[in-house]
Amino acid sequence: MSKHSKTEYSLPDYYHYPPLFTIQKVAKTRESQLQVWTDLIINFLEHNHKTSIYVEKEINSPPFCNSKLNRKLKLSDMRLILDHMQKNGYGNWDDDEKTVFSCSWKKLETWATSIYQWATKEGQIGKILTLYDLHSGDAASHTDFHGIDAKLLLKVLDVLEGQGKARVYKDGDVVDEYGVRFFDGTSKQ
Amino acid sequence: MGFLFGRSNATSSKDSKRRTDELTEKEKAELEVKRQRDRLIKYQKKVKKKKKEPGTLHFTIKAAKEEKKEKTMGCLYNEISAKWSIRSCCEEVVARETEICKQLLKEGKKDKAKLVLRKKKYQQQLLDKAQQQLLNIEQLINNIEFAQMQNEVFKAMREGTDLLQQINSEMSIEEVERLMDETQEAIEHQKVGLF
Repeated sequence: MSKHSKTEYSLPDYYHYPPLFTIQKVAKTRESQLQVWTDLIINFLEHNHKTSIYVEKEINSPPFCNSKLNRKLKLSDMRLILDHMQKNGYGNWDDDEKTVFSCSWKKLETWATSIYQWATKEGQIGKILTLYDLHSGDAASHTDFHGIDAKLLLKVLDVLEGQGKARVYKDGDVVDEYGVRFFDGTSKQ
Repeated sequence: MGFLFGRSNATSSKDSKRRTDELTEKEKAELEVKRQRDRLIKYQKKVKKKKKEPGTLHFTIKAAKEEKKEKTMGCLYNEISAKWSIRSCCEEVVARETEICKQLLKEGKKDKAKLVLRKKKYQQQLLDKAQQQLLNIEQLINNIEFAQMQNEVFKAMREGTDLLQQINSEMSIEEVERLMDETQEAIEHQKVGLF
């Protein structure tokens, strides 16, 4: 599996290999095939800053459909791959019918650590911030979570809240306007 | 770590670590000021984007708090759509008249052609007037938006200043002076005590 450079996005060589589009029967091959697909999709998500996949709509476009090869994934196979991604922490299904998949190109835990480290370094512990500030503010402009989707940010902050490192104040409808406060490592109960 | 993505009711086991610190009144005011700053930044970005596209007509209707404001904006919106359709009608008519004129000249009917030309000139005038009014309305909408924004900034600054005054009032001059005197006394005491 070749690594993609961050500056340019190009589909890897194995994308033009027809068997990629048929889920293999042999368990071991299938496992590595699912992993290959996961990496492919994650890179696609990162490059396009996508945070959700509408299964029935997107099955006919890259990367799920390769027009050059005239091959595309079956709907059930696509769901299988996304299930695999959910199991590994890269997203979850929004509905039981499995039509929309909310996803992230990094695990939520990774985002959470990244944000908390930034907060500690920049002395933002104890202060009140808005979500807009976190994803589009000047103070966070050189971080890897700059420009992150607001709903994804909310999920990440929920993780931090569960760890006792943050608290989100959800008043009103506008997600950007929610407040958030980070706490330092020592828990106070 | 897939379980962390679970739906909200699945996180009850983690609740024991969740902090339940509520916001104080001051903190709420501070948060509101920050929200206003964010709105201003978003507005700025929007205006910058509009500047880069001078040819197109952009108009947004902000969710006005008072119903009256909303109705006015709604009327303005209808005006714009009406003028826009007049303009496109006029353009079509002008094009058609030009065609008819050419045809008549070919047939040698000069008088009729002159008539058509005059008609075309009149339509063109209407077109120009509609264009001008469109511009006026667009300007009006922009001014209203800006005034709304300024109003909100004013309110936010009012809240922020009140908060600042409140914080300052907690440290009165007399108390600070008294504290400094007491500290000085204590230090003197200490010096005397050394002998």
